[in-house]
Amino acid sequence: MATNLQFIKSQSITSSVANISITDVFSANYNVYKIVADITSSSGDSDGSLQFIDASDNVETGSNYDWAMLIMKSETSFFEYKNTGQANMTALFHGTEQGSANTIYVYNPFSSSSYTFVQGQASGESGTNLRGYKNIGVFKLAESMTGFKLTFDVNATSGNINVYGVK
Amino acid sequence: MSEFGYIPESPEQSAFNNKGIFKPKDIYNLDQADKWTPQLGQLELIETKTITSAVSTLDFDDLGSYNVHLLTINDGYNTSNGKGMAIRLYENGVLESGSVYQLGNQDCTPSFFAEDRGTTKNAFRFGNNTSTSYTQSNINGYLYFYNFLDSSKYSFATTHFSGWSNSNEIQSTFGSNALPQASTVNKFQIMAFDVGAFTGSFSLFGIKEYE
Repeated sequence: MATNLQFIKSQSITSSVANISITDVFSANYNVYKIVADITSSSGDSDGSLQFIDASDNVETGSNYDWAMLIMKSETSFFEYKNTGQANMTALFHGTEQGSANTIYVYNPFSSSSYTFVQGQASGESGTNLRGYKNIGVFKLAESMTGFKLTFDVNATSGNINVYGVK
Repeated sequence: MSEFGYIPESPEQSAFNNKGIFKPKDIYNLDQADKWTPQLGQLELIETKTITSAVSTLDFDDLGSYNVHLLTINDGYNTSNGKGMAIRLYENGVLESGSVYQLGNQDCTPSFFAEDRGTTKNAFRFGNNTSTSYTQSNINGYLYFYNFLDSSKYSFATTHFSGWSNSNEIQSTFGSNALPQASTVNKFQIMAFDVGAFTGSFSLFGIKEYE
């Protein structure tokens, strides 16, 4: 029995897109998932907001997402960004013109008896200054999810999103 | 005979897309060609270095061919009171020691929270305020490195550490670091921050990707 980080799926961004869906990645094989993403935006900062997708490819758009993050700026004071009862997990992922570095963990997305929790961390360069992000979030429906959709407020032009299972 | 032993023709093979019946030799050949669905996982240990006699610098000069690396630190310790550790990057073999690094780190303790930030730092930072007064003082945590080997991209790191501080309490720090220069980073150097020397165990992993 292999134990480790186990690759599930890779999806590339090769043209300017406003959103991307990554389906059929969560299953009964794993409880914990790791998503590693490098996203380059068309201009300035791009926030990638997450919504989960179920096995019928329905995007969960209800007001069931709570989230909070600390935005760490190299040139000025840090900023707390948070909300409850939202239609997505806002700005869980980040892209910049200089690329970005996102590592997100997802807990229990396939379980139909527990909420889905996420925690993440990211780095990017906004103009000439570093942006760091530390995120938490929860999807408050005890329903089984098999994928996720990212919607960018500024188009993403290139990148890679890799999904791994954690054994 | 076709590639990988098939007669007369081999179907196209790739990781996570293997078709057919395979002999051990087929599997070996496909694995060598990185076309065999891996069974052992994608967190791949590159090297562990354990330092028991304090040094002022420690280089990691084999980064493999990964886009993302993970460096874990266990029981790190700076011999100078109140200091921590840092990392500098080599760009095409040349150590970057200029004030060109950027960071945004959040310090968390039972006594206070503090921001540690800057746009003209001379290194990535991790772990700080260790103490020579408390034997349990140490630095434990991880850094993820991104894009080091990509000459077209900036180099980023995300970090999270915890340890015992020189205020005799737990301290945790998380945050981000950047070398905002598009360059090939083919080595990095762990160093005692400011002064002193350090000990600890450092493991570098690569996170394997597939197209």
